[in-house]
Amino acid sequence: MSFAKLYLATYNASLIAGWLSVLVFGFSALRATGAASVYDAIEKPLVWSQTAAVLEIVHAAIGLARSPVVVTAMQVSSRLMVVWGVLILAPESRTAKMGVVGPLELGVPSLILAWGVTEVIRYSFYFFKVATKDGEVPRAIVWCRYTLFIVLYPLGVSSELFLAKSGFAQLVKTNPLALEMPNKLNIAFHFPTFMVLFFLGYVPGFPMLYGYMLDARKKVLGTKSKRD
Amino acid sequence: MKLKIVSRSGRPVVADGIVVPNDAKVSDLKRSLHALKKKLYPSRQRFTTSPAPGESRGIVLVDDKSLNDYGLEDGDTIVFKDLGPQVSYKAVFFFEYLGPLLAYLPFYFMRREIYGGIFGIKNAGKAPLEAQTLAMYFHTAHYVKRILETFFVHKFSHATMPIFNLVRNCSYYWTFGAFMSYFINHPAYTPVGRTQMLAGFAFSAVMQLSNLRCHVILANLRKDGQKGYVIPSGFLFNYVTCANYATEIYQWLGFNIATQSVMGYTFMCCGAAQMMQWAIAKHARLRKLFDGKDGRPKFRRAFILLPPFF
Repeated sequence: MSFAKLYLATYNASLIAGWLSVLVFGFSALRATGAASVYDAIEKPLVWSQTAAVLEIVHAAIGLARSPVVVTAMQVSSRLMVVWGVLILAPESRTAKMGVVGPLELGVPSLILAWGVTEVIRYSFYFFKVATKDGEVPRAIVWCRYTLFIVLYPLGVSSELFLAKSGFAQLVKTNPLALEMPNKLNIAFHFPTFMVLFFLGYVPGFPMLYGYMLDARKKVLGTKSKRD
Repeated sequence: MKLKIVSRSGRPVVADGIVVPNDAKVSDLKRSLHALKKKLYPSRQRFTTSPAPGESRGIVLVDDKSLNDYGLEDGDTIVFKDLGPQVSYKAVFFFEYLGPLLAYLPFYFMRREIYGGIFGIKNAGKAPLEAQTLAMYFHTAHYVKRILETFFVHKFSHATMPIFNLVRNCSYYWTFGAFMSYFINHPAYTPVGRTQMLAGFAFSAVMQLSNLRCHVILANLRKDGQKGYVIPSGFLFNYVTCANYATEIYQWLGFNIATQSVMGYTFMCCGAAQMMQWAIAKHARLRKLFDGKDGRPKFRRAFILLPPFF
């Protein structure tokens, strides 16, 4: 096994472990002490695992992975915005919740359900790709990777937007990372405004990435079933 | 002759194929398909030959060549791709340049309403600084020049592009235009020293005029009816492969030296990164085409894009 492959296998295995612990700690906290305690139970593995994903942009950029750089950067930056910009900078969002239908409630639990399951499957997919001799991925994982997103991606995005909305008032009040004019470089930074503009990017971004995944699904699952 | 037309997945596009005269050109074929399928106007059609064994794609059929040039005969199969809705280059250029022109001006002329009313900034109504006024004139002149060039100078080698590009390009130019204007016209804007400002604008003006000259040279590269690649020469093209991009980037550099804003420099860098990709591709293409062998001229240039660096 080449060094690059060994590195990628280790990277993917660590992230499977990271996201599994998010899911396990998160849902045991949910059952034991309720939704409000979930964030504190998972903060460390969540922040570490999600921040580590920055490396994926690097992997794509230097050709270590074959994923498109721009799409990867879009995905990772939106996740970092939610983790660092919303959950960390606006703690009020951590305990927010809103019922949708039946037992489905938006909040940190729905967020980590959507992200966690997606990531465990995605990293397993990559892990098998690099760790097995001919890059063969178990059919069940391939199917899950290209199917579950149909539900999990919208669930994740709605959780993200709901949490951002819940933390917004606090961000306006604390105004973190503020940079004000006048200054010689003629630049100002107002984080709440930046956040609104950032999430406005979801309007074209969400259908684009969803369409990209649907195309990938057709390509990967469609041709396989024809051959079978 | 009769040609079978299939999609890339191999499905027939027209049930019985298309009959065209034996000496038909590719453009005639496109017109015939358009007559059968109203939705598929010629510019959104693309034809390729069937891929040779072992190849994944065929050769793209060019409009003004005849079908015989590709060795096509009665009964042959060609591959069709629908490029999707198209929009003319001129329209795309016009709208992407009109946007920043219009997005810039309200921040200058409606200072009190925008900075005071919307953003709640104090002293929003004070008179603009000299730098802000000059910046407004330069920014406006730049885009007026681009729009005029679109209609009176540029010659486009393709008539249309996919409609998605219109949306993408407009969002890029309009958003940057508005953001640059917001910071440069801000009531708390800090100008640079007067000498630096005048030097920056002077440099920008020289570069804009040079850029116009470059565009005129490019528009006159080919004699009437001539097709294919030609080595651009004369003026700055003797030293830089993409002198048109170089002058464009340096024009913004001058503007930024004069106005000094992070947003302006960011806009310049994004544009430069894109032009860098195009310039590298063009340089490589010219070097490959004009290799100095078999009577072809040899292509040599000192710089690709940004003299004296690159």
